Amino acid sequence: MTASGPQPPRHILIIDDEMDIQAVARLALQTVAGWQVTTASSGAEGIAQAQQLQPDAILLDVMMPEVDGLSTLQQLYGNPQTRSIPVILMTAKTQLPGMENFSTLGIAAVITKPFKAMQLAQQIAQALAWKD
Amino acid sequence: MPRLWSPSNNKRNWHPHPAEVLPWLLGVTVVFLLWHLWQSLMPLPNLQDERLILWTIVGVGASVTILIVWALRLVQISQRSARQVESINAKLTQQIQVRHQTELALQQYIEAIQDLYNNAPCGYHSVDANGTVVMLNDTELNMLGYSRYEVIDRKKFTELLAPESVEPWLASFELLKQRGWIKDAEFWMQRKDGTTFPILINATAIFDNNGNYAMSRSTVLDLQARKLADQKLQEREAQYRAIVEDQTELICRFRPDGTLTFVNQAYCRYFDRKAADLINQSFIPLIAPEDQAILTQHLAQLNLNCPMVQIEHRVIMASGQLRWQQWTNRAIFDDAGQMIEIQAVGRDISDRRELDRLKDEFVSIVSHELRTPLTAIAGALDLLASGKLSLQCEEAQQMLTIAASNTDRLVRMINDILDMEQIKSGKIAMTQKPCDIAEIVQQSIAVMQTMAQQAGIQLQVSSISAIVLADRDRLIQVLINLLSNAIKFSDRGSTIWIGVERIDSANKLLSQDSINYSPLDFPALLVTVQDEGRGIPEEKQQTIFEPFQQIDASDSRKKGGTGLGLAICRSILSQHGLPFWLDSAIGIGSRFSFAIPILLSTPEHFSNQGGQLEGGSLE
Repeated sequence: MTASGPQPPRHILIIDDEMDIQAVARLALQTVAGWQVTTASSGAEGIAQAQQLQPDAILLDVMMPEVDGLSTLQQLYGNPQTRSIPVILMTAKTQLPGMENFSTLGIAAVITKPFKAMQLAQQIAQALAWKD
Repeated sequence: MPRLWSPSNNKRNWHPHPAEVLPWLLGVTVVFLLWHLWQSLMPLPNLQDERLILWTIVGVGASVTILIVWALRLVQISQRSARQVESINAKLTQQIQVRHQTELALQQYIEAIQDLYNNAPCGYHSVDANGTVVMLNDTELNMLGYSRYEVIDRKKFTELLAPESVEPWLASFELLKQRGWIKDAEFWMQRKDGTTFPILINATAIFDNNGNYAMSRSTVLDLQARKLADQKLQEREAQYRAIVEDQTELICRFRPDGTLTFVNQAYCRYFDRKAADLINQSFIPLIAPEDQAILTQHLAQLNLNCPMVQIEHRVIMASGQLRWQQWTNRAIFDDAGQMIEIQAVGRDISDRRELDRLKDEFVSIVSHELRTPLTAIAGALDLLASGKLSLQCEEAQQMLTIAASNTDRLVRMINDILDMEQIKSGKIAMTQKPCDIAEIVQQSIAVMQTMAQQAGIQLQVSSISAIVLADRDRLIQVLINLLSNAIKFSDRGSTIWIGVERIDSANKLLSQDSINYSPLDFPALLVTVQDEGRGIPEEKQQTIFEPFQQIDASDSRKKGGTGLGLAICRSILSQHGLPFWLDSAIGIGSRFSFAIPILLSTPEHFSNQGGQLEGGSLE
């Protein structure tokens, strides 16, 4: 990557059915890191947004009604248009069954709730090895 | 006592000896002769003659003297003879007495022996060389029901035996004749009436001077009483055995090294093994390998001061499956205080362990549910605290609102969880007092009115007034929960009906075939909360009463509920012993109902239309 002019801000897609969590995460990433944030309230909506907006990363909640986080993940990876977007899972369960197998899912990281809002952007940047 | 001759008798019946009479006869004869000589030699004396008188006096005096001396002598002799006779008599009497006493003692001894023989607690008999009964005591006769006459010298002993005992007895009779004794031989005798009874014979043989068998001397013990006692003992043992064997608890005894010495049927059934395959084998291999060390450690703690220990461990079933057991082990010590065996009672606690696991899972779910609002709170507060947000700005205000509302939700949820746990475990006692159902309905509506108005929902009440026995506050809590649910799941502009009507029989309740109906006293009140909401699918209509069982997993978050409302309602009504049920249809609405017996009817009735009450006030 060459340093030609100012880089556009990072673009993160948050998929979470909890509106309050969405709001907190959005503010945390916008205020602290100055990133651009898009939110989706369901897996289906998230997949559509990801396809259309091509964000730099996706923050995906595991526990969601209808299409849950893991199904959404499979669909994202199954779609050539979204396959390359890194995904970070968010879960409120510290001991999620099969959590030890997350590494095999191809995801970038797992963030457990409650997370520290001020450090959320830093956590994501570290997980994705973003230098900026 | 025989009548004996004695000196006192002598006085009354005296028969003098001829020798005693002779001197008297002689004396009298001499006096007569002298008198006759005097008469013949001398003429009748002149009484005036002094010599004659002197001679007469001398003669008479001499005669009298001689006679007196004779008499005294004779008396002396007579007395001596009498004394001799008395002495002889006394000796004779003594001899007769001794002999008589001896005879008497002998007689008494014989009688005692005969008494002992005849009335001994066991039978006695003697059998001659031919096997004929020659002696038999009363006891044995009584046992058999025969008279002495019928048996002695007339019956062979084999005739007194039950047929099956004849051959064995003959064999032992031969042995008796050869060896001289028989000890503790059991046979069956046959009574005169044909009934039989078990006996025990001990016998010694009596031999004559030539060493030939003369007869037996046998004792016979009637074993029937003993057999009955044995039988009773066996029955009692069977009872105790049944208690042990019929237990669903596993019972076993084992030595300190783990070798089993007893297992009950439940133990065998549990492990699907036969007792014979378990006894004398160690049970240690049945224990899951990872628990064996804990078990050994526990057993090592047993001593006289601490004879009991409770252990929980896993066992390997015949199928290879692991199951949890709980054992109470009690050590048994010998007189020296040495542990000889351990008696153990155990049960399968796999279900309890499973429940524990489910409870842990439940707590885990609860904690998950708690974490979600906490995330929002923590995040919002974190951002506020960072100072990067101006408190005047709209976002900061939004963050504060989020923090406040989530904190509120968290508090409610924690309260509900504790509430339900306490109601279910009976830690909160329902204080049931007479109270007016109309007042309870009014109170509940007063609390929920604001929420309903905010949601644009109309509450319609139709309630009669009646006194019921209930925990007023808890019943209000039930109605508030039901109203809260109805409001959350109803669309703006819809109506919720709260109804209280009198029912006089179970017919109306029984038509609800899906309810968990419990016996109820009538007349009763039917209390209903009905909405026009989305309705509850049939497959969810039972589970909806369970904790955290929303129709949709996201309901609790979207609707701000705790997922515990209905579970709490059910717990409260269940503690009151009241039936609680649901009727619902998708797209039409839901109606939650419970019934409560009327303690006292009152004539008042109130209802409201369009939020206005008639005949009652919500103020």
